Amino acid sequence: MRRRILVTIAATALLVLIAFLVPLWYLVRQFAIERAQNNLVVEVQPLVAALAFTPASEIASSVADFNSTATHPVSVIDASGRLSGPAWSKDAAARLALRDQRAVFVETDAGLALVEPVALEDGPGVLRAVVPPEELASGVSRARAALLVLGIALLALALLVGNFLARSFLRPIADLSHTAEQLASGDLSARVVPGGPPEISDVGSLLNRLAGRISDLLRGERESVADLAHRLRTPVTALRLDVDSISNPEERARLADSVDRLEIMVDHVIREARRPVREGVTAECDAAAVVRERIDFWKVLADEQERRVVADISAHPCPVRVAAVDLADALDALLGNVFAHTPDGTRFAVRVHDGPQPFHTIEVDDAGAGLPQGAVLDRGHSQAGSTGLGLDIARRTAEASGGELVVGRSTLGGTAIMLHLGRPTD
Amino acid sequence: MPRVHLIEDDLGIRSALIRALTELGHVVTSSPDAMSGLQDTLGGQPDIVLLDLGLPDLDGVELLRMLRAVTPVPVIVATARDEDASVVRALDAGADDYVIKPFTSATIDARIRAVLRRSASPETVAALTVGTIVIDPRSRVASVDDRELELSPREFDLLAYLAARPGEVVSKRELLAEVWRLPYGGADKTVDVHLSWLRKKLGESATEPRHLITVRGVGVKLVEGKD
Repeated sequence: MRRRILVTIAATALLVLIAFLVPLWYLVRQFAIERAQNNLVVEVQPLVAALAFTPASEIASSVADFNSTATHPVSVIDASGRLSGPAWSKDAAARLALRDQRAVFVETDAGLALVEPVALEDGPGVLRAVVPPEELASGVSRARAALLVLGIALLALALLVGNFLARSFLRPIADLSHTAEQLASGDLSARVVPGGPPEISDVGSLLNRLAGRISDLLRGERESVADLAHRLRTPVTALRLDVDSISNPEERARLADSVDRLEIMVDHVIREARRPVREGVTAECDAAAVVRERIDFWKVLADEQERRVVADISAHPCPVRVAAVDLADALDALLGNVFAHTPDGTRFAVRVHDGPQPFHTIEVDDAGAGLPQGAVLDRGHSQAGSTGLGLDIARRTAEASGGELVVGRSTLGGTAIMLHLGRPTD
Repeated sequence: MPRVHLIEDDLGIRSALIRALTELGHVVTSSPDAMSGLQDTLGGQPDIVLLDLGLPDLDGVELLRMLRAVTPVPVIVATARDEDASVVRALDAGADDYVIKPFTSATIDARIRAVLRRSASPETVAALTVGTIVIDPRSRVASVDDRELELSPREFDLLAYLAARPGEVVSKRELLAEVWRLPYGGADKTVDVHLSWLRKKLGESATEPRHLITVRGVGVKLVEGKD
């Protein structure tokens, strides 16, 4: 943005300078010529006056005297055509000056010539003096160089002032951008000091209000989740204590089992309710790193149970819109299912790769017997005596990221679970 | 008989705990709110207090601070709040232990006994020794064959729990409940993975166990092992 402002200022300043400097460039030369003409007229004027009272026989000596001290030697042709001074023949300019009785300037090979009629004792004569070309150009180059330097200096000054203005103008916007980035990265304590033009200052105040509102909402969410945990766990505790007091061991064990399942469900509900609090404003992690870490964790048990583990994990980071702790839980649930529902020695594979856009995909394949025909994958349903929450945890994690969980047939012969996880938005 | 004072606003839990702890040999009194709880604790001089944090008239942590200002009675916080911040806050305020709801009466009983044991002889928390395994619960350092083990907090708790019951087969259900504080069926394979890690760090394997023995279908036990 600053660059654009500077380019605009530079273009404007350049146009203004061109508008002023180009005419000046030509006026300097014109001014030099006019100055030379005036100087020449002033220089020869005493001679013109003196010749009017000089006898014809002394004209040559007067001209010679004058030329001995003059900057520009003068030639005079009298009425009889006699020349005094440097060589010159009566030309068209001389005839024009004599006819119109006025001084004329003409460009000649020798330079700019002044041809002026003079009144002599024996009749009208004509006088000529020449300004050489180098004298006409004298001072023009210097003046033009000065104009050029002045133009460059003015352009630099415009850029300097423009840069200062752009910075002072953009600083509040940069502060806004920085604060917005902090908020987006989850730092809800970030606030901007409103400043700059009124419109930008207003945006700063509104951003602060928005950040405050988000903080309030998250705080409210946290309190309501804490209250939910209290309200759900308190009756389960009472129930568990009541079950403990049952004297019939079989009855107690049966009910304790049910309370276990209820407790797991309650934990799951509380955990799901806490997801927004856990994630805060943004949730993001590198799926490849999380998978690598969880495989390292499970590999020891796999080795013990003589299961071959294939880990095909993308070497480059795979950012996904899930909190690392949630993704680790989802993976633990899926890998736990593999260990729980396939016999020892059953191999499995975990792959992380670019899924169908805009997803990264984590695939867990096993070489087990696969899911039974018509298996129900809803929460709380299981075909193998567990709670069935493992798949539900993984499915919810995928859906929270904007993706989905897909169950299919593995190339290893068993079940393939694909977690398509949404990528973070810019 | 230990005298337990229960400060809990939920009538169902209060009556069930009173019944269960009484059956387990404790003398139990109770208060339904913070103010009466403070009065009854100061007046009754119980051996231990079981405190719920979600009380109707005052936050349980505030009550805990007030109790700590006037009495050294051991306090076990029993609450539904399971966030780390809540646990740390309560322990910092002076709680001796923290139990998250839901819990069983057996768990509460075991915690009461453990806290009373510790408070009776605070200066001597003996190191646990099983064969060449030595565990110091205070410094949370464990070693085998004089080699210090690098254990995660959970692995240490697991080893310490098993070491406190040498030779006794402990079920996975019990480990989940006592070490993880989770109900059975929640994350059962987690126990297996941690046991595998523990075995690996002890320098043994499932096929050639030395200290950590799996009793198939029953549980696991920690034994002295052969040298």
